[in-house]
Amino acid sequence: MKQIRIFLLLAVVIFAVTALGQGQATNSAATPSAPQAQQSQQAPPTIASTVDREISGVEKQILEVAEAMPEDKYNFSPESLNIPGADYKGVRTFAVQVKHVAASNYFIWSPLTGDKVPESIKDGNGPADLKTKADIIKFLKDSFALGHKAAATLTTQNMLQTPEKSKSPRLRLATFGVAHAFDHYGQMVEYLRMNGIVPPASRGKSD
Amino acid sequence: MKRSTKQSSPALIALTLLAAVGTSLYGQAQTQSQPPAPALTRADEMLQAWNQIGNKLVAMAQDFPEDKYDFKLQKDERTFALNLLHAAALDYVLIRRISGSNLGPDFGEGDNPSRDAFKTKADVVKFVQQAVADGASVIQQQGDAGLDKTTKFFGNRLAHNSSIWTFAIEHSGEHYGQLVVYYRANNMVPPDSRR
Repeated sequence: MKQIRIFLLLAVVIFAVTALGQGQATNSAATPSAPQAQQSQQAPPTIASTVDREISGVEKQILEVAEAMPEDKYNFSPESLNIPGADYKGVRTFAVQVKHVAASNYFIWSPLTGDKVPESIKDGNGPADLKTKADIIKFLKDSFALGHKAAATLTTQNMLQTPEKSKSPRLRLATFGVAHAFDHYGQMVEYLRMNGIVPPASRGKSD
Repeated sequence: MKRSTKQSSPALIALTLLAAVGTSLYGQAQTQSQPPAPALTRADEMLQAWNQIGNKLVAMAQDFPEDKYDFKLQKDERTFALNLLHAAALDYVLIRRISGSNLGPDFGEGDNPSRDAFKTKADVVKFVQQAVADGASVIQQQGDAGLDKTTKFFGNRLAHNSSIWTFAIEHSGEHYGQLVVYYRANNMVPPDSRR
């Protein structure tokens, strides 16, 4: 009899916990909780805020890998590993990958803001005189600041218009900068792994 | 991944950027003498971006030797084939949500299909091609109005379909970048870099 009581008690507890969990799940999907209700009172997303979010996403990931690589490995290129059967001769170093992303950001996003590309950027590999990790990361951060400024210019009225000195519409330019950065992020991830460093975004999971 | 020896040539840099973002003096001259071409729709813009990265992955899948499909650089990462399968599978996860359908082949749960379901290079190529084609069809079918609709996204939140398509495009770009490094590790030049 005692065992039956314990069993019934357990059944009631399990049922209650399950029901509570379902209730919470339903709430989170259908009825906004307090923070969500607060969020829904904020302005609805715009084309500018949506693109800005994309830029923030890739900015975070690229900055994390740039920070994760030790400064003494900034001039690493897979060429130095002499992998049998590989041909990495002349490919970008890690530092040049970071500078290339930043320089490209300037080239791609400046038509949206009307800003001049800085004189120091002579080509797609960025300023040759930037040598330290701190300087290179600052250059990268500044380029993403331009990206946020570019995103802020987007409206539903102008997003399909082509800015001066470009053949691509504003929206395409804004999102191409993000897509281009992700291509190089993928390469930088491999450079980290070649140095025994797990990319920050992959720590604690298999991806 | 381009060789910096070639990249250091300002002419090549300029050419690459011109091709990438469409900036050109020729274009400006044409603009002055001819009426501008009509603007693409948002859906057409999205379709172009989708096909651009999708076709780059298809080209790699077709080009890479089958006996190297299980190559990977480091032990804790995906093989060449698994990178492609993951990119295409995530595309399908998102395509299915956006379209509210069950498009595409059965590749099991999640977005990391096993080689058991895609044993040959032909199987992988077909899967990637299908994902790109099916995504393109949905973008075209739904048009601009579809981009403004919302769909349940990761993190139990709703997102505009335009954001979800963009996420898929960026995700493919990331894996494309990894495969570029795999190419060079095998003494091969990625198809898109053969200029």
